[in-house]
Amino acid sequence: MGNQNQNRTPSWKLAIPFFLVLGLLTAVSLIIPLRPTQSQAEKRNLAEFPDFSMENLLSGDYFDDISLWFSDTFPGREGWLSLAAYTQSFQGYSDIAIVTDLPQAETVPEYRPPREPEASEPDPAATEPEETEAPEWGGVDAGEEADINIAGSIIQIGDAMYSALGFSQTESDRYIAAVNDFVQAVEDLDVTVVSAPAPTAIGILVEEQFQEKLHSVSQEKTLAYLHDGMDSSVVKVDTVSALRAHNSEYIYFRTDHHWTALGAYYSYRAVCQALGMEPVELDAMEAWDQGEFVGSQFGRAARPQKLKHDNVVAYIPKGNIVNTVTEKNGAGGFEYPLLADTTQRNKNAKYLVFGTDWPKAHIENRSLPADAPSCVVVKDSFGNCFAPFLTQNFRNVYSLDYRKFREKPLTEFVEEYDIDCVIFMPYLTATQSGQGTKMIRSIALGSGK
Amino acid sequence: MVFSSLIFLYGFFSLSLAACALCRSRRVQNGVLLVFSLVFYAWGEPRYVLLLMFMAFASWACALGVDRAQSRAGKGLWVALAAVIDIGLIGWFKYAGLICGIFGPVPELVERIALPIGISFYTFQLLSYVVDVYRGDARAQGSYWNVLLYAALFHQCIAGPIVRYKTIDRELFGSEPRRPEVAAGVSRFCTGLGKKVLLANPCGALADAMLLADSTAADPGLLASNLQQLGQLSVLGAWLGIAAYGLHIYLDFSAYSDMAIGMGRMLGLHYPENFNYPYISRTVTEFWRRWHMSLGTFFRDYVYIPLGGNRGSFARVTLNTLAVWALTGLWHGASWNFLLWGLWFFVFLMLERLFLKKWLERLPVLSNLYLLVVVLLGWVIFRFSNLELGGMLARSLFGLNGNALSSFTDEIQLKSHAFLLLAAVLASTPVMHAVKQRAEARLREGTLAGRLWDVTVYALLPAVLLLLSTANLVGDSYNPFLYFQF
Repeated sequence: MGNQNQNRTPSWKLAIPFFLVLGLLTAVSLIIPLRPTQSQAEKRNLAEFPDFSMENLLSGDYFDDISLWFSDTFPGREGWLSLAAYTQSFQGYSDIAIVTDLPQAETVPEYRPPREPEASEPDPAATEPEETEAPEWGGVDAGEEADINIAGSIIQIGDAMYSALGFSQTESDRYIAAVNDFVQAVEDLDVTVVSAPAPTAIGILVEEQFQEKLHSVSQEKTLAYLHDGMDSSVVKVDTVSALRAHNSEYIYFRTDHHWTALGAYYSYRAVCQALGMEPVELDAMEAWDQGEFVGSQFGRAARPQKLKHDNVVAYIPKGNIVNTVTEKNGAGGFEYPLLADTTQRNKNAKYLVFGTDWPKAHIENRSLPADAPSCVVVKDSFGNCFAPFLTQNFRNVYSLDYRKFREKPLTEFVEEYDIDCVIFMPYLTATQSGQGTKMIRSIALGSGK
Repeated sequence: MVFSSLIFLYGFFSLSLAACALCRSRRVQNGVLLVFSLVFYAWGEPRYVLLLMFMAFASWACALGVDRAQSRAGKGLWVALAAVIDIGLIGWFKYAGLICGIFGPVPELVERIALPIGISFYTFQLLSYVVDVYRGDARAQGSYWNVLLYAALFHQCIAGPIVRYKTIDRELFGSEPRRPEVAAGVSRFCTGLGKKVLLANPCGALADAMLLADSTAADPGLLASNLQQLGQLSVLGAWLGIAAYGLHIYLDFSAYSDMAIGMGRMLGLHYPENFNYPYISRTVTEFWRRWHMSLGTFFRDYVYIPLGGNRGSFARVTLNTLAVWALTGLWHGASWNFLLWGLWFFVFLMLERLFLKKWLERLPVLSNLYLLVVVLLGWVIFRFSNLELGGMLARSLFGLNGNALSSFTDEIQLKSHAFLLLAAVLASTPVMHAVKQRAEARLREGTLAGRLWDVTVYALLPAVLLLLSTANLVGDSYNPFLYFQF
């Protein structure tokens, strides 16, 4: 109950501001060209006006979809969302805000101690495992329900956004099996297989004890679990330790879930060291500042005013480098800048300096000898800023997006393009999700295998 | 379509207001309201608009039958016919699954029945109309379209308040000119809108984050993990979750009533109040005099008193009370937990009638705490149709699952929502209302201070609330409406 005992009979004229706002926004909302079709902040297409059908009409879906379209594409959407985020920031006072639900994370099972030389030694002969022991992963049997408790839970800590990582034994085992089966399928070819999943910010920047309290599993243990199960011939790169050694530097964005090019560089160094290659020094490349960046997590912040904006810096690799990309599977490629100038683009689009998620990008460093090695990097968007560094050691770098590349199984690709090295670099979250492991298996061995 | 949606605000509502403003006569305005009301209902239930029209037709015809019948028995037969039709239809659409489930597997035909939006509200309105005509409390309405307008009027059709015909008859169909209270109506509407969007929705989201979202809780395949999650909640987390849910359900429902009442006032229609700050009650008896008052009044006048009310033996009164609370529970949903929820209150009402009320009246703070604990535990039963989940949460509330007193994440949730909860608690008490009353008594109309007050409260605040609510509705984020299902 609120105003039931009115003392006043206020004049109708006092309602004029309300009617002005109501009338103005009604008029604006009816001007269709003012309605956005895409959200740059959320990086998605907005709801479309539904097609009419009698079935949809009778079921009520037609009107529901119109309601969704009306609100999703409301004119001035991004401004309204910022205002909403601002009002929501007054809900509490904690420096940490749990934006989405944090499910109880499955515990990462104890793993057997790593077999000594594996982390950096590509020579399989030196790392013969105790093959007599059946692999026992121990821990909780995740079962089918484990798929639900996957990370994706968003937390704001101070001036930065983080995603909690969940562990799924089922999906970890599927990822391990995908890599192992690929190794077996190419065993007759002279290919070095590298596993170097990209850790996420929370596992590198947040203390382990703190991660646990936030229902995020240890990325160190998760990576160890994955690598422990992999074939001894796989070169396992401890990307977590490599990045942690630099966690006081700007290696992850604060408003975005990706790492910075600097973070990717440290991972590249670790890969080179594991392969016995000489990494290029950072100083040897020119830094190219793209300007202020507002990433995809900004719109999900509980306290957006506290978030510190980001800055995208790309490093220009040396050499005569030609980047040929394919937009659709099987379609002919076209040249695209390896690093595209985004200095004039809006703040949401700066990460596109590293290109978009092409199904396939062939980056050729023509300055290297023709017989220099070739590699494939199996990646997602984390790999976009990683792949350019590889051009300093490999003449041909094929960057294949496991979410999109469907031309042929990797087993065939490796043979056809005479590949020397395959680097599996999904971000760690993908190795814990049913969709991620399914796609990684599909690119490695072909769909249905 | 819910009131707190952009398409309602900037499509339907603004057009309906403009159309009503252009009408010169009450008859034309009623016609416009009827068209808008049918479109409003059809927007959510394209097929069931015919059901609404049929039920209104049946009630209109039965009420005329009552009016024209010569004998008491004849009149009674018409009332019985209306009751059979109305209760039969609500029984079929709402309770067939529950009843069939008692005897075995629910047939596919019954499983496919969708609950028509607002059927519980408009059925009760139509029933009350026929009974009031029978009792001589209301005149029979000669025009079918008027009865249809009474049942379908979009202000209250799908979520109340349950407006009895005799309450609205004169204002809606009488000859006296309506007296719109535009600014007061706008203020009330925006208060409701802000309450819903800025307070109820985030409280609901917090409750979902702590206590499982509805869709997760309803999935039988997730029962084991749901039980685990509720069992692992810390005591703090469990109370935080159920408190947020309690605030959500009150703010959500009362906000809808505020908006309905506000829209009515803009046109000169006065609907009854539905809530009177129920959480400040000291007994369950008092709580139910303050919570969903139009439903309580309906059951009192059309069930409890006809059954004998307080008259008769203790056993008889107990039986009457039991019937009312079983029905109150089941009115809220066709599920056993709702029945249990009604019976939960029945037990406390009887205890209070026997002895507890006298004790509680002497214990001011303790009685408030008692009420809050009883009501919040009631919301535990209300929230989960699966009683196992409710039981698990109830144990977590008291640390009986071996769960911790507090956890890091639950403390974060509390800190992250502290001001929201404070504002929600304030909005659930009469503090702001008392401040407003006092200010309006002091700041006289016409004085500078009085004008400033009026401009702030009746001009600026509604516009600001509308803008802030709009911002929070863009993108169609979390915006459930709990009482829609009833």
